[in-house]
Amino acid sequence: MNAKTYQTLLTQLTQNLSSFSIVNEEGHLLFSKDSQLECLSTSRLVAFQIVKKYLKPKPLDLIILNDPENGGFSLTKIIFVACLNENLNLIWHEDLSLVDFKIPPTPLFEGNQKNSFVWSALVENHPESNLLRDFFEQQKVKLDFILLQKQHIQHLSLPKNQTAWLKASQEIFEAQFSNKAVGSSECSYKTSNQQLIKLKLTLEEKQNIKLLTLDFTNTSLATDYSAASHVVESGLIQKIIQFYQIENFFSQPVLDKIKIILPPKSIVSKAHPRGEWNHEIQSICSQLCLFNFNQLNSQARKSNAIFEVSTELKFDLVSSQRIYPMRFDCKNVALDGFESLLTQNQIQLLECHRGEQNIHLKFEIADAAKPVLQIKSKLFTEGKDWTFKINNQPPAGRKIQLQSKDQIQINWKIN
Amino acid sequence: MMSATTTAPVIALYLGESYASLGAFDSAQKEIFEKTVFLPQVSLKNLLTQTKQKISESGFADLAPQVYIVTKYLDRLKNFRLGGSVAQVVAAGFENSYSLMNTNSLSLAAASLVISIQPEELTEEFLQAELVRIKKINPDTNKVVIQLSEKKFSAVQRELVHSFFSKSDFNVFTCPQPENLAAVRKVLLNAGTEGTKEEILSEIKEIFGENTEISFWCENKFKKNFENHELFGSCNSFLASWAQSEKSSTVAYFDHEGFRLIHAQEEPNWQSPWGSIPASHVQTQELYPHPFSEVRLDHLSMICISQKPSQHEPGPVCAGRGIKPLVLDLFFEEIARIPLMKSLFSQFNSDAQKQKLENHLAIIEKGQQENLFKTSRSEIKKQIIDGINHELNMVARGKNMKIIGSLAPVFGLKSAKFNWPEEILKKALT
Repeated sequence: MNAKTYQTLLTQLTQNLSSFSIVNEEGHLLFSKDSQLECLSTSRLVAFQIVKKYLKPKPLDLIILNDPENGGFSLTKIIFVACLNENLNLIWHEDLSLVDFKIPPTPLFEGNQKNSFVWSALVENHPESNLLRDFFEQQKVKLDFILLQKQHIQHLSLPKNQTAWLKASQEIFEAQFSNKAVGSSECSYKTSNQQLIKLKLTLEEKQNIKLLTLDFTNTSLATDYSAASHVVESGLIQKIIQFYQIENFFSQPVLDKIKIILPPKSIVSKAHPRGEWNHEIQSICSQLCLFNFNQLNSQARKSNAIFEVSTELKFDLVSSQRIYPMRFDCKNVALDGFESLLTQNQIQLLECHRGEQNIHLKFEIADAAKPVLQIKSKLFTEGKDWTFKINNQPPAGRKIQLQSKDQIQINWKIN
Repeated sequence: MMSATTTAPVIALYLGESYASLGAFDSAQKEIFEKTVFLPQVSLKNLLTQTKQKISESGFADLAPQVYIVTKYLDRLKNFRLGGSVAQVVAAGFENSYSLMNTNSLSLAAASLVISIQPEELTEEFLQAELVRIKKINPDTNKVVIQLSEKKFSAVQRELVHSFFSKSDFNVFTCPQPENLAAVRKVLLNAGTEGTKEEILSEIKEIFGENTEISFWCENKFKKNFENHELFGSCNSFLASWAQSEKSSTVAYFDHEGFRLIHAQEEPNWQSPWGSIPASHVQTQELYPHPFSEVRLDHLSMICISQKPSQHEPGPVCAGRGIKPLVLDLFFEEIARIPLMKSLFSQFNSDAQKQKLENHLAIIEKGQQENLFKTSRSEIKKQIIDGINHELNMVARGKNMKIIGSLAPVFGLKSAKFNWPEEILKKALT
């Protein structure tokens, strides 16, 4: 089987998943893909290694976890590890608002059979057991659809086919690496509480060996504000594959060329128990990485550009056990499900105006509704162009229980 | 010369994005005329003129025909911002609110043609001044969407706005629920597509007369009165209805405008390129690749198939005027054996055409980077065929699926008999 056919089979097998990683028995990455919204590629690999170490998954096992301090991303993001056969594993994730507790690696299905003990403890005893059952059963349906493609799984798991694919994708990465500048560039960012995130990017090619080094040395030690190393790495890797335009060839040989130095117990390596800052820190580090790439490849002989973080506001409104993500960045605004909240009369629109470059949104929480507002990323300075207020005050904390008549006001400038 | 007949003939027309398939029938459902044309090369007006001539020759000269249309014509608007000549009247603080939920969606109205009103400021003089302002921005503005909430504006105020724009020769569209952003989008879409619908109607009436009765398939039946947004679902709704009458829940449809699965189930909202629209829509699933997607070398000098299809004008190389090879061109040899496709693309089988196409594809094939992904033309074709068959097999599990469309044989698929004019006639007469 040639590499192109292998790639086609991979695409067909995973067509219903927007974010996933697929690895062989040794844990070598065969392919990984992330949606535009968040990156978990390395997190999924760490989750797989933890599952492999403690549970040794067998074919048709489906294992879940969410612990942000042990391979997870946040409590509401359930990571699924499925063993498709002896040499092929699939890892993906889905958001679930019903869970606010840690789930260690737990076998939900063993050999395609429901684990009745786990199911009873985790699902049946939950106050929203019906919703939780639906959620897990939907994921199982998704997996079953993949498992139906037996021939694809068989071809994709054959070691000789995997070797040919990995060799071919390595060839692509090396060619792309050679087309871009080598050298080093560094930049830093001071957080709102005056902590420093410093990143040096070095691209080198010595004796035909290509190496990318991302070094966070001199980054501040973690306080409450920190994220797990795999969270940071996922964001960095996403920028690397986008920069080299190798999204369709992202596999183990690419990872093998990347060295990431993360000082222990620093902002960029210490896991937060609830993953509260993961989105924000991942976003900052990704932007630092992209800035360095652009500096290195800048046409100007010597660029004096200073890193400035792009404005960003991400929060979830969690209402009636559903998550409604709201995203504002420097170019776009996407308020998924906002209209559902309006039509369900959970919120009332007070103002909603879109000008040429600015957006003004003001809404009020309805009488019976009690949504929770969970801030995921807030990267802007309050001012004329960017405002985020609850009852005319900046939000106090990252997780806010909204009450009826609370008013949320957002002014946002887009380019 | 035939004698004059007293019962009006029936015209059954499938109006696709790029082609039209027309049949004219007498009262005994006997075919008078049938033709399929590629619209970039033969216009709808030309086809209708030929039809009129044939109808006249058959003795129906004085009778305006009844026209039944199933269409996908409006789908050609899906890549565009709409409403360049559509003004909006909105309450102050809600300007362009419909577009705020996702700024990546295409716009439905010109952002500058907004008249924002405070209830206490609303007078005829104010409206007159605003009309002068928007006419300065775009003198062709001739449609207005009024989005004034009952909570903020009295019935008298809303009537004042309505009558002012009616008197000013505007085509007035009213949104009864301006608080519902999806409903606003629906009315804006109706306004923004009015011109395209009128274009179709006026061409038919110009040829067959003002009294011609024209019905479009919308939401499971032929209708003379409908909202424009319903036309976007016309074709898929018809195919879903056809599938149901064939005791099937899913139909796989293959023509040169797309490969897709249409399920009989309906969804309450349509995720349109302009945002969510509250309009029931049958579930559809596009199959990869699109026949109008370009076959080209990507940034890695590898053969790839574009994600987005090309415009229908100038069309594939095999149609005569295209200069970029499309997926359809890859299957030139297979398509050349299909009579309908030969009649659509008149220059299809000329030697010069074959040579031109061969040259285009050879350039792409030989231009590939020497690496382990290098692929031959036949391998690409095989991957496409295998991919489509694989997807059909996965979907068809446990379902009674019908396969139809002129291009189904290209993928080795056995298709059921389906002829657009005949099927439209059957539905029109039931």
